[in-house]
Amino acid sequence: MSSWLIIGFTLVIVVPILYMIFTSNIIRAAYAFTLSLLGLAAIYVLLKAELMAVVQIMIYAGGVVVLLIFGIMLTRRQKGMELVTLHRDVALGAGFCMILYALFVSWIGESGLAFTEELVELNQVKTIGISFLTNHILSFEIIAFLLLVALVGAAFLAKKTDSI
Amino acid sequence: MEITLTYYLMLSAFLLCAGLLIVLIKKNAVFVLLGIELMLNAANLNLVAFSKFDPSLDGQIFAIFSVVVAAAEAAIALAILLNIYKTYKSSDLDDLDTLNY
Repeated sequence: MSSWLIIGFTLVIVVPILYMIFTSNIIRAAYAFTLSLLGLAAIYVLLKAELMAVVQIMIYAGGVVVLLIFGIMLTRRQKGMELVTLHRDVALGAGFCMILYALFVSWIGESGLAFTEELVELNQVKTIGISFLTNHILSFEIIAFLLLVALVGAAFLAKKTDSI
Repeated sequence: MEITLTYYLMLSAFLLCAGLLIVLIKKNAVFVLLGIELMLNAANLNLVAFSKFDPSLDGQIFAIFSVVVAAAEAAIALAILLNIYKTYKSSDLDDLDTLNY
């Protein structure tokens, strides 16, 4: 049962990504990207990582995608023009990525990373929260400061000025 | 059918290669950003899949850090993109070919 669910959600991830590769309409690609992000959140739930799934939905599907769609809308060349993009170096890129994927598959196959003992942790959010404020406190503070600096910098860069 | 760690690693490798393909072949800058986000998601999936077999949950913690960095990166990249669009009147990566415009 669970394995069929995982395969189904894998299709929810993979099919929109293939659509993103083949389409030239940017806004449709952004919506397809949202769908695959939601599929990834479902995979996280099935991997018993509920907090990560919620973060994925809130920040990626809610925040980053909205930012990207704003970016698409604000960088349109003319009103009424269709939002299409062109491709270049398709054969080269596709060949390179396929070779890379084949290499990854062979490396994963021969790495022998086949863990069996699954972790059954019930109070995951509590464990992660305590870990944030004890073992990973420095990373937590640095990431908070990085987010502040990045958002102030983004607001500064995007403000209307005569000369930048 | 048994789903093991290998399955998630393969899915993550697919996400990485698809993101790289999008970065390589698309001309629009926003589309390239979508590809970069896909590659970051591949890293997150790897971290979470490994964290399933680790009682200290460090993988999930680093995945959450990586999501935050990705959000900051998207905000900065779009601000830079808006400035580029104001200057060049285009978001096509092939048009951005002069320094000190």
